[in-house]
Amino acid sequence: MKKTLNIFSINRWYYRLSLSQKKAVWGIVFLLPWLLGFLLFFLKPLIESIYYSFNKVKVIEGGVQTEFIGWENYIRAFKIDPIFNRLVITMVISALPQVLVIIIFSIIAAILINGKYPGRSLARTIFFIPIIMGTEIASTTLVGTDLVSQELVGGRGIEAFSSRIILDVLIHTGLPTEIVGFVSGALNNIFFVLANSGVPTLIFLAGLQTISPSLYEVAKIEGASAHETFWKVTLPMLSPMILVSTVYSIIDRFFKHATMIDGIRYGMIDRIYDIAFRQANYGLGAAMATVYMLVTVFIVLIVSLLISKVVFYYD
Amino acid sequence: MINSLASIINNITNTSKRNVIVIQKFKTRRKITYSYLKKKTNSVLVMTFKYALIICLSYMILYPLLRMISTTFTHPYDYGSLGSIWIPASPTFDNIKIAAIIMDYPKSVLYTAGSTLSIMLLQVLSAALAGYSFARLKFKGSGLLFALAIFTIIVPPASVMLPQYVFFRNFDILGIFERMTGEKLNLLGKPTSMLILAAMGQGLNGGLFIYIFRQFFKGLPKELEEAAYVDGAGFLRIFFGIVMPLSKPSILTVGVLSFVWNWNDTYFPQLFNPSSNYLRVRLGMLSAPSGGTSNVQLAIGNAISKIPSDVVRLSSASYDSLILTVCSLLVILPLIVFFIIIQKHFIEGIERSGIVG
Repeated sequence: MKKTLNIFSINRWYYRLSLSQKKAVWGIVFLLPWLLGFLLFFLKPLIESIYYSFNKVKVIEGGVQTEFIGWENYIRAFKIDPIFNRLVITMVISALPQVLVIIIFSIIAAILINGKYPGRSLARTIFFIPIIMGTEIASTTLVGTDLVSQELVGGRGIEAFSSRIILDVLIHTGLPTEIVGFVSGALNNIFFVLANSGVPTLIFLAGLQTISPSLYEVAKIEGASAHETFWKVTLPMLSPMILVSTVYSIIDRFFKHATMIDGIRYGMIDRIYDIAFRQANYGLGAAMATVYMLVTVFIVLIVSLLISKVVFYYD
Repeated sequence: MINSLASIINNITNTSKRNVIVIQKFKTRRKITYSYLKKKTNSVLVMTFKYALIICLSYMILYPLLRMISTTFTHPYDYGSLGSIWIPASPTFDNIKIAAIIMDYPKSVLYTAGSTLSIMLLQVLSAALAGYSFARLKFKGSGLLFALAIFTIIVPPASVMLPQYVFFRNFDILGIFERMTGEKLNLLGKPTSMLILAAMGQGLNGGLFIYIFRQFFKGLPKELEEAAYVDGAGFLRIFFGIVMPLSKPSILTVGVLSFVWNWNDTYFPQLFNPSSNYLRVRLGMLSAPSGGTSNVQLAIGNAISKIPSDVVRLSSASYDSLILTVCSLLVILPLIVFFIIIQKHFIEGIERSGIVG
């Protein structure tokens, strides 16, 4: 290697490697695009972003100028900004029950489209439409039609899915108001749940396919009922997928979180974007983004720790 | 009784088919009793319930789409009236004409499709390379790097958007461009920045795609690759000649997901390339709240010269929401067509890709 590094010396060096060393070399070569991207577009920005959050940031010609101000951005994000703290709290509170409903619904949907029956392929196509529809498009349409019907009929509600009748019925049965509230809330959100269940359904369908048929045969021979088979075979075998899709759904929900405050719709990401770019306050925006990231990572870690305690791995 | 019958059947299976049929006939005849009827009713009930559930859920999933379609053909004067909820009383194409004009439809579709398609190809390639490295070509520290790749899924893109923005605004690799042209390259407003991100596996949900590919490659039989290696193929040739052709299911899964997600994405285009040629960005701009005149009316006003005079248009809030609905349909229409063409392969791909295996 004293000579200059010409192509032959590299070649000779390569042929002297053992198979596992060659594999390691190619492993790094294959990983190189991702690794570079990871360092340049993920790790460096992440560290910079955390650094910016402790600074007053000014965009100047050809870069940024920073001035250290300690925790002030964080204090401002929580104490002075009128929207951000409410967004964080509603994000955590509203996302968790939504994710629970989404997961339960997706398991049911995946089991429904997994069986063999006439018309299955049509049902499958329909159940995957939420993936292509996109949440926002579905919800804007519904909000749009709702507005018009209220405008025209004076809020009498001609919506086919108005839950008002169900609400009336439930109230008159004398159930506790909490239960009535939960049921009607879930009904009001049914489109929301449906629109977000595409990817979890896909994950569960893939999971159902990996369950070996011999397990079901054993259950049948042992005389298990369909009910028992579900709880003792299907659900434990699906539990790793429950972990995956719960984590996915939480991240997805947090990312798309939006809430109504005083009649105006604020989105979490939109708010950060707004502060950072439209109001040109990079430091405050970075502080908000850091808080958002910490909350997400924290919640995801707690939830996955809790779930992984009951997850059953077959092998 | 039944047990003994079963044992008889088992004994006879090896002899002749005819006997088995006789025994089975005998078995069914014996069972037209209470228990048989109960079983039959049960299965009919379960089937009915299942179909009812599937039909109800399908209706609810399709509801927004069906509403969009019926709204699209509703005459503006009829919009919201009780006579035109599902089937428009006087169907019209005027809404589509207006929406297509203010969205600059053919041009935007081509631009979005081209950009999304190239991002998709780059994402599939980079994710497959990284996934193969994580699955088969392990080296010291690749476990840690995989954990970091999973970490990129958890960390929301919002926490890295500011430095990324600054980076692309003053794009420069080792000061090359500054030395050549005297100033740094501004990659904002060009599709290049999104392509670079996709090629480096940092595009939309890049970590997830790497995960899917790694799981799939781990499930492939090692023997094929080893045989190719023994026969003298290099790792690049093994990857492109053997592994990639075998992984059509997972390529399809990742490709479809990447295409659909990038098509519907507003985050990356808004940040790096706020060109109004993206369908989704155009829709977002039209539906954004504005003080005074709504964005829809402004867009119609801007394009007034292109609109034929016989097309009906109004200026009310409900008309704006009508046009927005039509625009939304136009945005997802190419996706729906694409999905219907590809759905059979896509779902088979999911079943075989072992996303979670």
